[in-house]
Formats: sequence, C-alpha cells, structure tokens
Amino acid sequence: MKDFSIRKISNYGFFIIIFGSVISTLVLIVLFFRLENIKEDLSVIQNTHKSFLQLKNNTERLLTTSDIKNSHYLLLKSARKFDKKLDNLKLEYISEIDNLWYVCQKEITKIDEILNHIIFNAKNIKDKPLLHRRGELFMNNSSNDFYILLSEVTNSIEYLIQNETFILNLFNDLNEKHKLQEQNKLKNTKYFVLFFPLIILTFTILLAIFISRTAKKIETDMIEKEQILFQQSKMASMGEMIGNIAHQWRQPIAIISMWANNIIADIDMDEVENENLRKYAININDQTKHLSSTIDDFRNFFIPNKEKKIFEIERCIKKTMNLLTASFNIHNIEVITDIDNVEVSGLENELTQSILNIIKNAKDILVMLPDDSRRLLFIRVYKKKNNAIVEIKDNGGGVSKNIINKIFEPYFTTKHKSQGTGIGLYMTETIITKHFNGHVVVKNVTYNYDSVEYRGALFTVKIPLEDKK
Amino acid sequence: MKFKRIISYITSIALLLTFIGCSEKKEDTKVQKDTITVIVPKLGGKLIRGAILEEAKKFEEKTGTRIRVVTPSWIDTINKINESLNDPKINFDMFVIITSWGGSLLGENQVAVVPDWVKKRIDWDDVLPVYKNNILTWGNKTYALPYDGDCINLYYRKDVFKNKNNQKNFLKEFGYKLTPPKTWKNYEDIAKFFNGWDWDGDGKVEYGIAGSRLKGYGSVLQFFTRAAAYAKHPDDKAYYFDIDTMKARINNEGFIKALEDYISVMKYGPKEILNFSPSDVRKSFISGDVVMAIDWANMGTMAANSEISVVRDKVGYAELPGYDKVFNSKTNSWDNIYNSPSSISGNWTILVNKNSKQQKLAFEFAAHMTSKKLTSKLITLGWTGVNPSRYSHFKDLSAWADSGFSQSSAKEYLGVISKSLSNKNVMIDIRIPGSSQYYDTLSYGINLALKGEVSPSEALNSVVIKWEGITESLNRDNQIRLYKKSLNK
Repeated sequence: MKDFSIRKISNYGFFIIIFGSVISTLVLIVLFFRLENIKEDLSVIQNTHKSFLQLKNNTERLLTTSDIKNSHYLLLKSARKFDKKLDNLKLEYISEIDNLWYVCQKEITKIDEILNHIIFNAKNIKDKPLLHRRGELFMNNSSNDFYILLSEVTNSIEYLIQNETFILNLFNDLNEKHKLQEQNKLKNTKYFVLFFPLIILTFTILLAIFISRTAKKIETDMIEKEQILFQQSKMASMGEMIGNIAHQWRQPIAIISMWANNIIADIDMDEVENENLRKYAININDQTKHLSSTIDDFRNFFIPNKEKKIFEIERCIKKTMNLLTASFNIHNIEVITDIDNVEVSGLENELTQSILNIIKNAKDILVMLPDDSRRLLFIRVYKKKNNAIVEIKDNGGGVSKNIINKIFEPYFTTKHKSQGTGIGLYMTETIITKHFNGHVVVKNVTYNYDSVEYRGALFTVKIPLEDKK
Repeated sequence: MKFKRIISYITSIALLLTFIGCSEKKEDTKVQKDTITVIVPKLGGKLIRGAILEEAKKFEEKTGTRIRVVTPSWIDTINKINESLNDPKINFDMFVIITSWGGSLLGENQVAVVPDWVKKRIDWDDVLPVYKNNILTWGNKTYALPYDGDCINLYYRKDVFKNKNNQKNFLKEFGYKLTPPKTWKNYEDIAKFFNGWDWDGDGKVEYGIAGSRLKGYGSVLQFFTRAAAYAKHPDDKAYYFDIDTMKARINNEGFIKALEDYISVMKYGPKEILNFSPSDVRKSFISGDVVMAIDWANMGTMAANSEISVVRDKVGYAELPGYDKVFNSKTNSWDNIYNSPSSISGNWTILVNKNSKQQKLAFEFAAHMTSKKLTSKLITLGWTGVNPSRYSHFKDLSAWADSGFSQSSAKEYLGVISKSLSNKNVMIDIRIPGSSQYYDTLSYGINLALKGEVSPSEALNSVVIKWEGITESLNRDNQIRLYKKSLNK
C-alpha cells in the first residue's frame, strides 16, 4: 500500500512535469510563430498604408495644383498601385476596407472622366487650380456649364477625400491594433516564459512536499497499524495461551488436590503424622511454585519490552515451548530440538512472539493430520556466517504452491475465522525484517526421520548477528 | 482517487493555459467599432451637415461607436442614395435628406418605420402637425424624423423700406405704397425699384433681389415655391400631377406664367445670379447687396448671428407673396381669387435604412439629432440650417435673443413662420419614387430657360414629355397609388 501510493504519486508528478514542459515548449513555439505572423501582417499593412497615403496625397493635390494633367496621371497610377497592394492584405481586413475602396474607385472613375473632358478643353483651365478656376467662373454667367462641371469634379474629389479619410482611419486603427496585438503577444510570451517554468517549479516543490508528507503520514499510519496488529496478534495469542494455561495448570492443580485429599484422609483416619504433612505441604508448595512459574512465563510474554538487549535464542524457544507444551502434549506433537547457543540483540519478547507464531502455525497444521500419524516439529537454532538461523520444520505436508507466496501478507489465512486472524505470519515477517533486520522465508521440504520420509514446511529465520567488536 | 482528481485538475489547468497562450482572440481581428454611415449633402457653408458632423464626434465619444458622415454634393446625394439601393457594396444606414428624396426610398420600401421608443425619446407630441401630416408620414405611417422644419418666406430690408425717400419715390413710380409685397407683381416692382443703385449709402451698387438659380434642387424648389401662388389651387391637394392620372401639370398656364416671372425678375439681381445656390442667396442678402430674398428660415438666423451679417436687426419678415388669380387644373382655367399658399418645401428629415445592420444605432443617433433639446439649440444658429419644427421652438424667445435676435425681431420672425405654417394651402415636395428624376429633368429644363436657350413654355413642355416617360417607366398605376399615398390620401 505504502510503496504503491508513493510510486503512484511519483509517477503522476513525473508525468505532469514532462507534460508541462512539453506544453510550455509547444506554447512558446506557437507564440513565436504568431509573433512572426503579426510582424508579417504589420509589414503588409504598413506597405499598403504607405501606398494609400500616396494616393490620398495625390487626391488632395488635385484640388490645389495647377498641373492638373500630371496630378490626374499620378492619381490614377497611385490608385492602381494601391489596388494591387490591397490584394496582399488578409481577407478579414480587406472586407472592412473593400466597400469603402469600391466607393472610392467609382468616384475615381467619375473624376477621371470629367478630368479627361476638362483637360481636353485645356483653355478652360488656364493653368489654374480647380478650386481657383471654379471661383472665377462663379462670377461669370456665360460659363455656367463649365462652372457646373468644375463644381461636379471638385465635389467628387471632396467626396473621394472623405471616403479616403475613412479608409485612412481604418488603416490607423489597423496599425494601432496590430501594434497593440504585437505588444500584447510579446508581453504574453514574456509572462509565459517566466510564468510557466515557475508553475512547473512550484508544482515540483509542492509535489516534493506532498510526497514527503504523504510518505510520513503513510509511515505513521503503518506504525499505528502495526501496533494495532501487534495488539491484535497478542490478543489472539492470549486467547490461545489461556487455553494453554488451563492445560498447564490442570496437572499441578490435580496434584495439589491429591495432596490436599491425602491430608484430609489422614485427618479423617486419625493418621496424621508430621512427617507426612510436611511431605504433602512440600509437594503442594512445589506445585504452587510451578503454577507461579507458569504465570510468570505468560506474564513476561505479554509485558512489552522497551529496551533492546542481547539474549539467547534458546530462551525464546524455551519460553515458547513452556507456553505450548500442554497443548503439544494433548495433540501428541513431538518436538525435536537441536539448539545451539546463539545470542542476538533486540526485544526478546518480539522474537519469542515471532517464533511462537511460526510454531503455532505448524501446530495448527499438525493437529489436522490423522490421529495415527506422527506429528513432528523440528526446531533448530544455529549460527551461520555471522547470522543466527532458526529453522522450524513440520511434517504437515507443506504449503500449497498457490498460497506459498502470500502467507506473509496481512490478513491472509487458510483457517476458519474462529481459528486464525491472518496476521500471525505477517507479524513474524514484520518483526524479523524491521526490528531484527533479518528475513524469514518458507519452503516445502521432504526429509527422512527415523527412516521414514516426511514432507512439510520449513520456515527459516535469518537474523544478522551484531559485531561484538 | 483524490490524487487522481488533483492530477486531472492540474492537467486541465495546464491545457487551459496552453489554449489561452495559443488562442487568438476574435476581437483582435475586428478592426472597426459598431459603425454607421450617414449620408447628408454638402450645402453652402456648414448648413445641415455641420451640426451632424459635430454631433457625430460627440456621439462617438459618448457611445464608443463610429459615425461616418459622407457629404456628397447636392446633385450627387440622391444619385448616390439611388445607387446604394441597387448596389449591395454601397450602404448608408441613415439618410439626412430633403423631403422629396424620401420618395424614392419610401416607394422602394427601403425605410424603417420610426419605432415608438424613438418617438417617445424625441417628444413626438411637440412636433408641429403640419410636418407630421405632410412631411414625416407616408401612407399614414411615420418614417421620417424632424431634423429641420422648413418654411419659405420673404426677407426684406426693413430699414430701407422704412426710408421716407424710398417710400416717396416708390409711390411716385408705382402708384402704391412701399410695403412688403403681397403679390409677385409687387415683388418684381420693388426689385426693380431698388436695383442698380446705392440705396444704403455704402458706396456700392446694390440690387433688388437675390434668388437661387443655379442648376439643381435649390432653384427648382424655389421655382415651385413661387409657382404655387399661380398653380397650387387651395381646393386641390395635388400640385404637380393629376392625382388620378399622374398627368403632369407643370406646363399649364399657371406654371408657364410662374417661370416667365421667375426668369424676368432675375434682371433685378446681381449679374452672377445664375450661379446662385440658396447659400449664395443668403450671403448676398446678409452682406447687404440685395433688398429682398426668398428663402428658408435660415435667412433669419444667419442675418441675426452670422459673422458676415451687416443686416442684424434690419430685416423684415413676410409671408410669401401671392398672385391675384390661380390656375385651376381641373377646369383648365384661371380662377380670379387671391392665392397665397405657403411652402414647406425642402424640409430636412432623417430616415433610417430598413436594411441597416446597425438599425438600432442609426435610430439612436437619429433620435439624438432630432431631439427637442438639440434642435432647440440648433434652430437659433444660422450656420446649422436647422429651422423650427416644434411648438416649443416658438415659445422660448430668450434662446433666440441669445443667438443675436432682438426680442421684437425674434417675435416677428417666429410670428411670420408660425403664420405660414398655419396656412391651409400648403405646397409640399414630390415624395414618390422617381422624384429625383422629375426634379433633375425640370432642373435641366429650367436651366435652359434661365440661360435663354429655350422659352419657358418650350422648356416646360419638353420637361412634361420627359416626366411622362419617367411615370411610364416607373409604372403609371403604381405611381398614381404612391402619389396618393404621399399625400396621405
């Protein structure tokens, strides 16, 4: 659970950082190309704008110049040039200018026609600007037709100038808008260049903090969970131990009862002798000491050790056996031990608990064997390459292949709910790996004992020994 | 699960940032603001268009919109409007036009009916009924907004008329007292009397009259204004055409006599009178060059507050002269009754294009231009060319005094306009499709007659032939229907 969560967080975090980097690169590329496009657009607009200004100047000059012929030519030339330039503009801009330019073109055609007529009758112009000549003709009734014609052309030029002014305003707006657009895009790009890596960095930091906190929380949760499991495990053991105590106590209590009855019988038969009474009392006393010792054993098992110390593994085995002897006797389980003197450092009760869990597990399997079968439990403790090895082997037939890899997982049990909690072997594995830095493995083995071949599970606990230097 | 959710949020934010970074905002490519194009002709000075140009700027600043005002010449305006009706690439959202031009637009069903919210905004009840009934409605529906309330009257030099020597000499020469002319005959006599001598002692020779004679609408409207006394029968609402046949009446004896007199009186004006547009007439009168002029109400305000005016408080106002008989088109004979119709020809109204993509904006601006508040200011300023069209315009004399009128002068000025507007025999413009063609051909014919190239009867007979052709080409029955509609019949 713990490993999975951190892995998941790390994977997602990594994905986001990569994703963010790719996205930011893409956005930068797009922004860059867009800026390029805007610059290109702006250049086209400025060129067209420039061409339009030439046209407008020529139109305005037409009203005030004396050289009407040349100005007329320049007007037509600049109109053609602007028309061509307009084709380079993007359609979206043209559509706004197009209608106005259409009106201008119509007016230019009209002006062209009238000017051709006027220039043809050059005597009427007399090298004077159109407005000037019109003023002169106003005062002369005899030139009424030509006055009207001049009025018509000057009015058309003025109308053309009006429409050109609208186009000019549009160009100004376009320029303004594009410059603004360029500035905005530049600003956006700048912000983006600063902002996006900052987001990624912030996210990375947040992610690190998040992972660290989550890991810590998971660790705390795990410790709490382990403590609960320890407690659950002990409680489970306690239930079983109470049964064992009952078995352990039954014999001494029966003996005490027997000696007490002997005392009562001697009294009843008036055969009380001090020597006998002393013998009875000594026997009762021995039995109560045994009872007391049993209680101490159980109590010591359940009292949590707070301090690490060096202890012999044999003590743990003995304690376990003391707790289970009665039960083993009832179920005819033979325990064959081969225990070397090996010392390890740690919490004695925890190792006792670990060994107890394995042995209990073996016992639970063995009791299921037919009554006529031998029920064997081998316990071997030895030292190997600076490791303490504890081997516990039974002849229960071994662990099914399907479950052999899962038996150290929490809440995994093959037993009925009333019998197993599924946390015993998990606790053993946790204690051995976390608290003793060792490990525990299980495998099925076939072996001979008393010339008979048996098959069973072999649990091997390997605990590294501390350097005594 | 929670973590997955966080991851998906972060991914979404990253994608959103990407899209924002890469997205191209739509408005970035939109160059222009909400824009309307207003067409208003260029008259002399800043008349009519000046106030629109000024107010357009203020309106733009206030609303963040764009108001394009195009001002073609008088002659070009209606042509450009007509052109726009047939060319989808030319669009005008708002038309500021003289009454007669509305005919083409209304006949072609190109004008939006004025909505009630606009009427409410411009205080519709304040508008004079003479304009509501004759100018702003068509087929009994309101299509036009009252920018300018026109009324043509006579303006004369009161100071010169009062001069005892002048009175004595006039009486001696013509056998009757020198008073504002009651008939066009009187008008010509007075013009003759004051023509060609320095009657104001400024060392320059002055003239009898100034009148618009330049080829174009101004001159045509002035002609029809004069001809009304000869041919606009008080019992007949129709003037230009027979209402049932659309047969043109303009070559009847009444119109021919009117044109003869219209030409005849020119000899008592400045030598350049043939090139006079209405604004030249005003300049001439307020510069003190002529003793009388026939003009719209603009003359009164220009005389009072134009910088070049030398006639402030020297102007008298009178209703249009009449004629001592009137031609009855129905009986084809003269009726010997004194006829003195008024003329509300040439009103400037505002119409909104029915097909405008910015119709609301166009109406907003139209309502602004025709509001009671704005027009009350504009009518007192001569350069605007805007004249009274509302009850309220005649009530507040202080506004007129502020613009240069003396109290008595303002009272007299408004009194004459008011009297003219209450005349039951009113001459209005042609308001049917083809009106510009009718006016153009008449303008051409009159110009020939004014130049002396053809006689008045020849000119009008040839115009009638052309008018018949126009009527036929536009479908006579339809024209009959629309002519009746234009008269709200």
